[in-house]
Amino acid sequence: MGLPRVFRVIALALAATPIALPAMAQDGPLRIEITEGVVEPLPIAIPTFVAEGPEAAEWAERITQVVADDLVGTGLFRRISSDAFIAPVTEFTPTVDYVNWKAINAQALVTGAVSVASDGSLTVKFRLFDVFSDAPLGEGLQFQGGQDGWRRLAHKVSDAVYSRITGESGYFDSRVVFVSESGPKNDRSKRLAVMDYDGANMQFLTNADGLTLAPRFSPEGDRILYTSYETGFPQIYQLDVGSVTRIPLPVPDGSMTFSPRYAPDGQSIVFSAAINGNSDIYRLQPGGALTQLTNAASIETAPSYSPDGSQIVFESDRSGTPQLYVMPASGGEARRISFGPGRYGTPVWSPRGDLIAFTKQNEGRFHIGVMRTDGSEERLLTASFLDEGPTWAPNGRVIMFTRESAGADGQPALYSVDVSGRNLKRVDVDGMASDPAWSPLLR
Amino acid sequence: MDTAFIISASAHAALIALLMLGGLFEREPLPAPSVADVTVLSEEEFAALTRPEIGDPAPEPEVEPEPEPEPAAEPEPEPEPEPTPEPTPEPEPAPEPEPESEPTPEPMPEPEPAPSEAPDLPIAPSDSPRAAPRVSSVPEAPAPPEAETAETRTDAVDPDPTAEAPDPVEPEAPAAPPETATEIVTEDADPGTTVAGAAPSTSARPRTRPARPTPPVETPQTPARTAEAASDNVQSAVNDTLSGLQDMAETGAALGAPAGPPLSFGEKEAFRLAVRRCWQVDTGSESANVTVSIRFEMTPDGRVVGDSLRQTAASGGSDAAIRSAFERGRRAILRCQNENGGYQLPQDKYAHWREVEVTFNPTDMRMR
Repeated sequence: MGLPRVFRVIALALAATPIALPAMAQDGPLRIEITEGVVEPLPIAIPTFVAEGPEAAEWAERITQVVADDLVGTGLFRRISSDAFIAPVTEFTPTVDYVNWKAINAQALVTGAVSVASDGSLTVKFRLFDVFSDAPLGEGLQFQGGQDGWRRLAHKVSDAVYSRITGESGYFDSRVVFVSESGPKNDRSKRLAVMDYDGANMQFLTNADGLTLAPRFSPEGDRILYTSYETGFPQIYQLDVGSVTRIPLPVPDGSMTFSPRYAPDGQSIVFSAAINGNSDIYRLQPGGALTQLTNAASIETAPSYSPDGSQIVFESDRSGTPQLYVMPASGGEARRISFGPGRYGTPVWSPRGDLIAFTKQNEGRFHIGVMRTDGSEERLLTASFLDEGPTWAPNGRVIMFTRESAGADGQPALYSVDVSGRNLKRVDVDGMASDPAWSPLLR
Repeated sequence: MDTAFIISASAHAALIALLMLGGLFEREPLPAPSVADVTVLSEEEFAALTRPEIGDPAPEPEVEPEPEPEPAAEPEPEPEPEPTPEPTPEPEPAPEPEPESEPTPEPMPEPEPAPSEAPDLPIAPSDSPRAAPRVSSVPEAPAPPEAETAETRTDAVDPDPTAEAPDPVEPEAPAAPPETATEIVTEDADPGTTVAGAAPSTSARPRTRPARPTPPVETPQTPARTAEAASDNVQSAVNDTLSGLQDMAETGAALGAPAGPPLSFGEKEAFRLAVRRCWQVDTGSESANVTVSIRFEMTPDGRVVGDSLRQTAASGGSDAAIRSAFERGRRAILRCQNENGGYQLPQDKYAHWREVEVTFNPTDMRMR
């Protein structure tokens, strides 16, 4: 009997092993981790929107083109030529034949339709499909507007598509105010102009009589602050975009004021004022209350609020060279955040709140760069003879700035670059342009 | 008539009585027979040993017995036999200590086959190499019937390695002394002992290659018998358990507990690269800060079960950024399978990749 018992014990022991072994071999699903992908535009198919009625045909063509230009212009999408389409899209249907689009490797598909109402207004409908998931990406949407605003209708579609795919808000339905320049370099006239983010629909806001600089949109996009030298002294004005009327800001008598910017609440304004030869930063609150935020013998200028309104980044040469500093919105001790070689200026806090864009001059070249709000991870996005004055797109994804070519015939122009440093391109603007300021998304 | 009737009646009665008596005899003897078998085997083995000693040690293969337990040990033995079983054997004798034990053990297993198949001896060598079959040998062991044993051996050769392992232990002591015949018998008698010895011997065995030669093979049989005589039931139970375990392992795989070897590094890497090629990262977006894990099921032909993709973990961004990161990962998984007509993964390891979880971590791609 002893032996059998021994065997039983062995048998029991063996019986337990096979249960344990598989568990040791693998627990759960096959797991893999991918830490490196590819950076390339996402192939997207944008068939010409369906014209619902003969009168809508031209609008459908134009709107489709603007949508495609918006998306492709980001550098994040690549439009697939319609020549590659297996079957034309002739109807605006809630479903599509995914196989046909997979076959041409379209990862996203935008279909749309345009109709013209009896009163002439346009209606644009669209749907977005995630081809490889065999499913629509969000619900279909439609926008309606007058024919004058057809580009905005297209930008709205683009913003919706961009947002659904990237998870971020768009920036296509936005405007940019800038300084339009004309004349020779030694006698240049400068006046304010505003345009769509892509350079279309440019309009002048001021005449060419005075020298205007540094325009800034209000958070609502309904007002613009700028500096004018029309009196011989730099003076800040606030322009109402709707009525195109302006008023000067109440500032200390005898002071030169410049470099204004709105607080996130759109009510307070910070700016630099040179009083008795010393420049400091001040805050003007509703009702006219003025508060001095810095008090140093050095030059403090170019203030910019953080999105939450709690801090202000500004430029100061208190250390001997222009550098960037951050201080509480109410003033107080500032901490330096720029420590690289060269000179830093014109800091602008990103709408996302995570980065600060700036102009950097080093070894005879200018750069547009970004850094974390604590000064870390500085990255220079551009380099040229003269790059300056960055402004953020409303989604914090793109930076527009001024680039001026060298030489006596050098001319300023507007450029934009993705925050990743890719997709640097010139903005299509008539004439010379500088000092851009991006508006928030329009409503 | 009376006389005739009486004679007839008495004759019938006698017949009935004989039948009854015979039946009784038969029944009781049954158990004994098995014992007798064991004995018989040992004798033949001796004969075989005397002759072929050297050469055939290899035959040992018989293994059938209960090799299963010590498979590990066996492996080694096998190789030896192949090389030159014969030469080796002799040397062994010299080495008193090890050799003895070895020879004994191995020979023992063989014995069984030997009896009926002295010729098999040569085969044995080849068999031993087959060690692989081991598994089969195990089953054989259970087959107590000696007759069967003979058959098995032939086939089982493979098991030898295994079988030997166990045997070695027992035989060693006794077998070593060639004298044998008698001893062998003895062994049969102690099945239990044999068994016990098996476990320990197994590990030691392998090393004693020289012993190999000790083809005296005979010994091997002993072990088998031992098992039979001692506890056929127990062994069969063990064998059943073992085979049952294998079944469980297989069915376990089918149920989700992967069986067999996992994917090799190369196979996993190839799969990872296949998905990576389609993972498009937008380094300037918030989603580039999101690490997301996506779990999905796959069909045996390497295709993703479309509606099985689900997010199992995510960190590093807003809900919108996470959603975008998930969709990018999902597109990568779905798109690359489409390009390749299904992912290229070893079908025999399907249990290991039937369910997959891919973690997309853009840490290394973030802008710095």
